[in-house]
Amino acid sequence: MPDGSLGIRLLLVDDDVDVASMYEMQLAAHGFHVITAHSGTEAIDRAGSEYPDLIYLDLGLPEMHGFDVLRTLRSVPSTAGIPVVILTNYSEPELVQQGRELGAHDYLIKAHTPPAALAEATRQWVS
Amino acid sequence: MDQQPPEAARLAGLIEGDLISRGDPYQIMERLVRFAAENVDVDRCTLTSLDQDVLRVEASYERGGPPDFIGHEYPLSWLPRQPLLNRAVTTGAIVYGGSLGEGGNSDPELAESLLAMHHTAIVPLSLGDAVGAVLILSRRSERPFVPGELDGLQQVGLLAVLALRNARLVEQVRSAQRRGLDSLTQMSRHMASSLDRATFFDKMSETVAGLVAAGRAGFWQLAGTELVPLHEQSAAGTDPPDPRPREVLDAAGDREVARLLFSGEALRLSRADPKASIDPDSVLARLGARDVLAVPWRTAAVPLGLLAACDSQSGFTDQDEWTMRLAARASALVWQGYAAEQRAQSLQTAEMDRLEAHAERMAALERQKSEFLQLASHELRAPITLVSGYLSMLEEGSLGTLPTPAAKVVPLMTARMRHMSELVDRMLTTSRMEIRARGQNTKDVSIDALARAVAASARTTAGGLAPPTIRVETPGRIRVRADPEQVETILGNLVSNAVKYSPEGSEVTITVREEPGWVAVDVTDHGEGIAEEDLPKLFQPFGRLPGAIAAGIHGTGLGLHLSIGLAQAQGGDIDVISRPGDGSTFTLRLPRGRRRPAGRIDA
Repeated sequence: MPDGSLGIRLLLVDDDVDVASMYEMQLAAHGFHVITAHSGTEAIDRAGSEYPDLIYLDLGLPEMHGFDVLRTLRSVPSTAGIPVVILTNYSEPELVQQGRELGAHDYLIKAHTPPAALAEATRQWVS
Repeated sequence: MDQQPPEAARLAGLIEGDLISRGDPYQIMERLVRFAAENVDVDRCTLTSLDQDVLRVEASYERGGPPDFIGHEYPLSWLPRQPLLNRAVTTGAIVYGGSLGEGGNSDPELAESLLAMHHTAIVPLSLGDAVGAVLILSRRSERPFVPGELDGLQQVGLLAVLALRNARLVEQVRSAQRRGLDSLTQMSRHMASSLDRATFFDKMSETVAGLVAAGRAGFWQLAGTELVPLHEQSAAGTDPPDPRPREVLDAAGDREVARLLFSGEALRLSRADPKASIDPDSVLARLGARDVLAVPWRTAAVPLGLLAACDSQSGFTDQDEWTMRLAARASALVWQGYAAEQRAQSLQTAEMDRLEAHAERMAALERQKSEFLQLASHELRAPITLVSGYLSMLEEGSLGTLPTPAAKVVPLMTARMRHMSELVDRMLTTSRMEIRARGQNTKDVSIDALARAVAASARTTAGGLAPPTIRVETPGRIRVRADPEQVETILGNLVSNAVKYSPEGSEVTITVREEPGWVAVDVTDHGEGIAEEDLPKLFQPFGRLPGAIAAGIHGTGLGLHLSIGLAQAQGGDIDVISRPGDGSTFTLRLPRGRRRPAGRIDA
């Protein structure tokens, strides 16, 4: 459990509960404090109440698209500054472009991102 | 005519020759009067023709003087005042007498010399029932005419009258031919010009009205059992045709019209015609016309309708009928041409519609296929994420230690899952390329103009104290088949990158050039350049999060990534050459001809 990761709070937004818990397991093993949300509204609520240091955001969420979540987060001053990384299986270049325009800090494809790699990326990001 | 003087015999020979060779009829008649004068020894001889309403002196002989009276005309009403002449014309027999003025009031119009004649003989020359001309012979001497003396002359005179009639007919035919030629010339001009149907029939109607000297002329089309006006033109072209009810002539109910349509006879009706077989008023009143000449308008097999001219200037003639039949024939040919053209067009349209519908169906199927493929691939990624993720955790031991046999199979499963993931990536790429290729709006793009537009836009957005100068170099107008919006996006990306990495006050150059089969655009900056080991990462997306790169996460796309995808979707590509310390050159290449999209986009 690397020391540097202690106290870092991550919000992981994914409606696929199994995938979310898989990532959560690995990230927690690396010492990160992981909060999960399974819908867009839940994500906005948790972000507003927990002030995570970094948000991993899926796009294909029920009721509310990930980009709408991102727009809402950016429009609220208390969450506007939280870095957001898109973590999804949608890989169309147009979506990637849109993600950048909306202020996402990176765009990762879940199928290409094993849990250990996500943990390592997170560690480098926060250090 | 046994004792003909030699001169008379010679004249008789000449007349015969003239008649056989169809010589000038006036010369024949002139010879005839000379022949008569010399043969029967008269002082004066005239040949006078009788027309419908006029007596005309056609030839004349005067002993010892010039011929006079030639061409002189008297109205037929003058005839009863000349008893001798009148008797000859009404009986058809040779009449003998004294002076012409004898037995009635001498006509003051008669010449003194005629009245001085003592003996007169009038030889009527009959064609069929009617007397067509008379020879008037006069003697000053006391010697009277002897009966039988002039019989031979009557025979010869008849030939002269025949010659005259022939001459008149030939003249009529000639003038008819001239008019016919004019008609043909005008009609063929309409036919040769590529007019639309309505204009053609307008022009043709106008021409016909002019040629037959009618107030108006027009085509009537057979629609069911009714004749409806197709186009009607007044000769002057100024008066619009009367607005008449469309249902004017009932072809089935009108015997005359039916005969006209189906037997090919012409119909000529005039209010002034007492011999009309039907009451002309019934048709004329409906047409609102004084008289009408109608001819059938038909193809070889089918009656199309009729061509009718109304309100003639001086009655319709056979020549007019001939002209109109010719016009109707010509117009039927043209009508058939238009009909064939229309049929061909409608067939073509139907075939085009069919092909288009087919193409649309195929495109819809293709679209569905691509969309399904994309959806399916995306759905497959969810289980791959989970299974691969846990497999990697099993392999790393973060889920505890596996028994040895289980630990052995995990790498196998990982390898197969990676393979599956690649397959799904490829499926996604392919379907996306197909969808993108269909969405392209390919046009002739003037790439030099596009480069200048991009440069202008980059200049206005470049920030900093001393933004780099942007220069465009192009050999002239270069066109390429591409989607202009996509090309603008690509060039915009390349130029904004170049500007971003350029030191202050340096220069960015956009060079448009041609290569065999390709159009190339170089975007060159003078920044730091790119380290060789970093080049492969260039076209990967984001790349700004060092963690993701360091963690070896296979990325996704933006900026250059998106640009290369767009270029490849159009059959092109983007290359980069870097000179570390001296900047980089990115080159967009687009195919000159239309190509299938090639290459791949990272999934």
